[in-house]
Amino acid sequence: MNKMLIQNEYETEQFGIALASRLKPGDVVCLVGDLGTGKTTLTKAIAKGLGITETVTSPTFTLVQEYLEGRLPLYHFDVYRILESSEMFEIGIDDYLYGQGVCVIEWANQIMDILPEDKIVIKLDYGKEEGSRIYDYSGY
Amino acid sequence: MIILAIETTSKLASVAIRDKLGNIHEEDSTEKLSHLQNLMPMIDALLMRCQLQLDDIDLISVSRGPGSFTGIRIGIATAKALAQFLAIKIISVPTLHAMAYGHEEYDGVLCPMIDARRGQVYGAAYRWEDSVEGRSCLEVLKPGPYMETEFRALLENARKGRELLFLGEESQRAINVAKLGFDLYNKGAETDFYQISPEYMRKSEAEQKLEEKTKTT
Repeated sequence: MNKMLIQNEYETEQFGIALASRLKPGDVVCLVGDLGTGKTTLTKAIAKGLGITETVTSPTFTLVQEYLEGRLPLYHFDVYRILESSEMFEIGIDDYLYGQGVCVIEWANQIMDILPEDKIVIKLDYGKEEGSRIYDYSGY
Repeated sequence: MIILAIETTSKLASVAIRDKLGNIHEEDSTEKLSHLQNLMPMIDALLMRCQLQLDDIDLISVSRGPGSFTGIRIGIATAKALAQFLAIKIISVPTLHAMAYGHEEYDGVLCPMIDARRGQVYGAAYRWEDSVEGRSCLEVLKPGPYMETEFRALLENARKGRELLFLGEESQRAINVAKLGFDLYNKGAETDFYQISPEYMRKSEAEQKLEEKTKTT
């Protein structure tokens, strides 16, 4: 586990872009953190780093959104409303997880038991200062 | 009897036609996981090569899974749509069984396997034997989702000292789906389009829960 203090949204973007530059096909990035900790903001930064210009929004209702214009395909999941991991098999999550792109999964803690062992996990928490965050990450 | 066979359960899709003389012609894609874009054009190209029209097809044989989730859905949906439109019957073919159809001459035990991830495999075992009707394919180990270790143990038991041949993706081919489809047709296994469904072979949630329960008690 590595810890990093993120002081503002600019640093979130820098973190996301740096992460994106190191991603390869089949990578899974898990974002775990409460409402408002910036999971979607971080995803937007990763998307930007991959060269995606389309606007990234949280796929809370559609579960997954595909962005295919970047260096690698990005599959953006939001599994907030998933109650049982097995529900994810019914949308064919394995084809995404073991595919040619990168999966970024918001609320990944909801489905941790079906995700590959080899994954990047980023826990997002509020910092002491207004607007700051603490990223606790592993696998990266 | 002209059969159109569809196999989309692996990364590479293929289609085949078994013509009136029993010859099989195949068309396959070289692009990985592009079934949605390539399937219909591939069927079109194959028909043209065989100098056939769409409505010359008498029966559709489709590989129903297990395998790639999206792939299975594309294959089944396409087969259903074509069968409905052409008003013909469908044979839904178990993928693992079809995989054994590429090796009719082999005397040992054939073991088709598909990676189910998380330490699991979808596997089965078959053996070709001479019978009064010629070579026939016997099931030696029931198709199903197995833990890798469990599968190995069951296989060791089922092979009864015979040689083993493992089959992977390279055996997920429409040519095999056409052959098994024809055999199943001769056994009267054809159905209406609305009667077939995908076979993902994942244990249902209820089954998994029951297993966990029996493990803890």
